[in-house]
Amino acid sequence: MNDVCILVVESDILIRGPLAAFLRECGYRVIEAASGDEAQQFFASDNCIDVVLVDADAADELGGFVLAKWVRTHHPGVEVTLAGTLSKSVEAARDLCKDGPALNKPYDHHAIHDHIKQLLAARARNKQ
Amino acid sequence: MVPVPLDGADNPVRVLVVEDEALIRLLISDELREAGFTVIEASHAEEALTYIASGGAVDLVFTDVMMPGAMDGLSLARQLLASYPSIPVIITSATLRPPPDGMPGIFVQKPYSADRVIALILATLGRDPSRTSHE
Repeated sequence: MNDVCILVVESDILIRGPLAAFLRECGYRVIEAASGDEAQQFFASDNCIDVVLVDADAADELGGFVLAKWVRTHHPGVEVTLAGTLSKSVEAARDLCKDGPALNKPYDHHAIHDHIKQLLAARARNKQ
Repeated sequence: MVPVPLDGADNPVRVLVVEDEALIRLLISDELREAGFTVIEASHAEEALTYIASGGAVDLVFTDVMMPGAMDGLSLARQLLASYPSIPVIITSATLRPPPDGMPGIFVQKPYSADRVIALILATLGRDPSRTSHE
């Protein structure tokens, strides 16, 4: 899975760090962004991002929802999953995501891994 | 990948990288991971302190100086020296030259090479450079 790259966008280091470490142990290449602005910088420099996990409550000006929509618009081949603490926000986020349900916080790392695998499998099927 | 041992244990050395420039942070973090270190990434000084104060295990902090927020890298290093004296700090900057007296840590000038940073980390922690996988 080393060729699969996950971009984790999360402003809280105590959430982002352990999640990124877990996904690396699962074999993914993981890029950590502390804000939507940082995430956009990575897209500008790295065209190999496969999946984006976005905190719906991202604290910076861009915000999780806007970033998710931006990714869907400018990088339609990239899978986007929104996560957040507010169920209402998560419900709204589903409109912005192509596949599957949004994820609730606190993160269940194994559930996220399963979700990523489902996204990648669906994408592989669509490419066939 | 050959993990860098810590005190003879199987645990790799844990380096907290504090850098607000996302692409620079990614670059050095990837290089350190390739060399076998466990890397925690912080985008600013307050985030680094939050991680350490929460009990996050760190063997060494590698921090930039110029960062947004109330605390820059030098303030972070001084805070760590006062509150966590067992955690060594390596400070990097493109603008500080030469490093001022009383630098609360080891200094490496930007731009730096990954090899230089890795060598400094290992020397600071008294590690054997031959134990890393970095070429």
